[in-house]
Amino acid sequence: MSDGKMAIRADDVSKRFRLAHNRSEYLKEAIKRAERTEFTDFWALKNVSFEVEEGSMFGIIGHNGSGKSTLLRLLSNIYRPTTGKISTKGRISALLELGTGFHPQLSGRENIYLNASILGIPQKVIARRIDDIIAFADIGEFIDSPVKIYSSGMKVRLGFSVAVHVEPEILLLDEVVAVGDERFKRRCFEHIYELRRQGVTIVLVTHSLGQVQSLCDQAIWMERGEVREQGHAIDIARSYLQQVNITEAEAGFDGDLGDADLILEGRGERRGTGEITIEHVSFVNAHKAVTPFANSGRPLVVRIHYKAHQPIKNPSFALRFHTDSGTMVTAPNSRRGRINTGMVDGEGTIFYKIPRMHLTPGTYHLTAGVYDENNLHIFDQREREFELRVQPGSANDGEGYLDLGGQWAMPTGGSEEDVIEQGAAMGAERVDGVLDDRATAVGHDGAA
Amino acid sequence: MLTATDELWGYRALVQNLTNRQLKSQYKESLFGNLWSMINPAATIGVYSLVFGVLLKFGRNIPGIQYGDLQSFPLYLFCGIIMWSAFNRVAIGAMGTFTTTGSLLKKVYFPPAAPILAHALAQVKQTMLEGLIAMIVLSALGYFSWSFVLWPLLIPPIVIFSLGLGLMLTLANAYYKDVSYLMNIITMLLFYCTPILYSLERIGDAEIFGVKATTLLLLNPLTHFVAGSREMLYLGMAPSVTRWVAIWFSSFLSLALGWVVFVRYSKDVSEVV
Repeated sequence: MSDGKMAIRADDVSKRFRLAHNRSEYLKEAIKRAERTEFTDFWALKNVSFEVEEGSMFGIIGHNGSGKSTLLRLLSNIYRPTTGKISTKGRISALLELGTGFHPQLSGRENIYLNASILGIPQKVIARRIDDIIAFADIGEFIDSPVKIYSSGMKVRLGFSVAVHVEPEILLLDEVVAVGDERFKRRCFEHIYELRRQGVTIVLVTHSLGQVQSLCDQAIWMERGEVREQGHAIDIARSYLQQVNITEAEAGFDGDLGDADLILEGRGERRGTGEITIEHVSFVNAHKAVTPFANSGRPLVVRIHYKAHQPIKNPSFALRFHTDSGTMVTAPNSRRGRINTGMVDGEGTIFYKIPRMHLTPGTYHLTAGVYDENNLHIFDQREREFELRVQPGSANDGEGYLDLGGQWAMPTGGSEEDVIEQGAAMGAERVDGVLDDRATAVGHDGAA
Repeated sequence: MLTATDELWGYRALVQNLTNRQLKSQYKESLFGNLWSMINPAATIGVYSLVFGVLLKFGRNIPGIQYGDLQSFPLYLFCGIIMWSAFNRVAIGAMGTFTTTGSLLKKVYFPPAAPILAHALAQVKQTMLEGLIAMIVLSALGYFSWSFVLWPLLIPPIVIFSLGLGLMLTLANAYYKDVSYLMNIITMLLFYCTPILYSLERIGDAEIFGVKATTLLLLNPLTHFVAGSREMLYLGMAPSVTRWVAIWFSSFLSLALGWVVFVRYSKDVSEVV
C-alpha cells in the first residue's frame, strides 16, 4: 500500500456477534438451546482490510450501525476479531467514551491515577505527566475534590486530558472531540495537532466530513460492516457526501451532513493562535473595482489579506460561503485546491478567483481562515465576518442558492443526439478568465 | 497462559489502583470512616457473646476442646469465622466486580482478571484487622500466645484459594446469571459443611453413606483454614505440617485451575458483561 511503516494493519478482519435475544443469560435456556443449536449470527464486520501508516491521521466514516465503533473496539483490543488479524505497533490509548472509569467518591487526582492505569500506563509516566494533565483539564482547586461534584464539562475535560497526556503511540478517538464547549474543543484539536506533530498515529471515528477532510490523510468508508471505499480522506469524504446526497434525494430525508452543527453557532467568532492573522477580505468585480457586491453570473475575485507574524511554511487558506440562514454553500480551501503557498512572512494577499458567480442573488456571509499545511491547526479563523451581496447579473435563476449555469434546449431541427452532444461538449469550453493577468495564486504584495 | 500472566503483571498499576479505589471508597462519606472495619468485627464478637454466651449459655463446655479456663464459644466461633468471611468476601464477592467494572471492559481494554485480583487484594486488610481484633480481645482476657505471630501466614493462602474459585465463579456468572443464585444455596450448604459452628471433634464417628463424616470434612479445604486459624488464635498452638500442606496445596490447585479456566474462556467476556 505504501512504503511507510505501518502502525496498524487489519487483515481480512470479520466480527460476528450472536444476537442478544438468542444468547441466553440463563442456564436452562442454554441447555435447551444446545439441543436446537440454532444461532442468529450478525456480522458486524466483514472482510475489512486496511493499513494505517505511522504518524498519519486516519478517518473512519459511515452511517450509524455501519461497524465504525465495532472496528474501533477491535483496534483497541476490547473485542477479538472472529476471523482475520489485527496487528498494532505501539502503545494504544483509546478514548471511546469520556470519563471512563471515574469513581465518583475519589478525588480528581486519585481518578487520574486510576484512569491512566486503566489505559495501561505505567505509574512513572503518570507521575511525570500529572501536572500537565491537571493544567490541561483546567479544573483548578477542584482537583482534590471528589469527582461526583464535578460538572459534566469538568469530567469531560479530565477524561480527555488523561487520554491524550499518557504518551500514546496510537490514539483512537470516537467522536469524543465533538463534546465540550467551544473553547475546550479548540484546545482538544490543538492538542491532537501537537500529538500528530510528535508522530502519534491517530484514528478518528467521526460523522463530521469537515473533520475528515481537514484533519485526515487517509480514510475508510464503512457500510454495513464492509469497506465501501478507502483512500485519500478528501476523496472519500467527497464520495461519501455524494452518496448521502443521492440517498437523501431518493428518500426525501432531511439528514445531518455533519457540518450542520458547526454552522449555526459562533457567527462573528474569531479563533486561532494568531501566528498568521486574516486582516481583511475584499472583492474585486469584473470591472476591476473593489466592491461589496458581486453580480450573478459574472467573475469575482476574493482577496484575503493576511499578516504572518512569523515565517510559516505552506499555510492553508480557506473560505466558507454561508447563506443568511447559516447553511454552508461551499467551502474552498487552498490545500484542497492543491496550491502550494510556500513560505509566508509579513503581509500578503491570496486570491480566490471565481470565473462565474454561481450564487443566486442574496446576502452571503463568508468565513475566512488560515490553517497549517495539514488543516489541523487554526492560526486564525473569522467566522462569518465578511458579507457578500450578490446582485442579479447575467444569470436568470433567482430561486435557490445556486445557479448551475445550465442552458435550456429543445431539439429544434436536429435530433436529440445533437443536443446531448452539444451538452457534453460544453465541459470542454474554456471559461474566460477576465482577471487572469492580475489574479495569481499567491500574492506576496507586502511580503518582505 | 504465560502471555496472559505477563500481561496482568504489566497492568499491576491498575490492580494496585483498583485495590486502592476499593479501600478508599469503601467507608467514604460515613461518619466513622475506616473505623467501621473495626466496629463490624467487634460487633460480631459482641453479638455472638450476647446470643451464645448470655442467652443460650453456650459458653461452658465446647466438646473436645480444652484451653485453660477460656471456654468462650463466641470467641471460638469468631476465631474460625474470620477465614470463612475472607473466603466469602473474596470468592463470592468477586462475582460483583463485573457489575461495577464490567461496563468499563466495553470501553477500554484491560485484562478482565485485574478487577477480580484487585477485589481479592482489597480484602486482605479487613481479614488482617479481624485477626488483630481477635488477638487483642484474647490478649486482654489474658490468653496471649506466641502462635499469634504465625496467624498472618494464613492470609496469603486463603486469598489465593478464594481467588482461584472467584475467577471461575465471576466468569461463569458473566455468561450465566444463574450462577450467583446457585451460589447462594451452595454457600449456605458449604457453611454448614465446614466446622465453623461446631468443632471437627464434635462429629465423632458419624457416617454419611458409609463414609466417615470427619473424612469428608477433612477433604473440604476450608476445614483446614478454619481449624488452622482457630488453633493459632484460640488454642494457642501451631497447626500441624499436614494442615499447612493441605492449605497450600488446595490454594495452588484452586488458583492454577481458576487461572487456566479464566484465561481460556475470558477472551470474549467484554461482549457479555
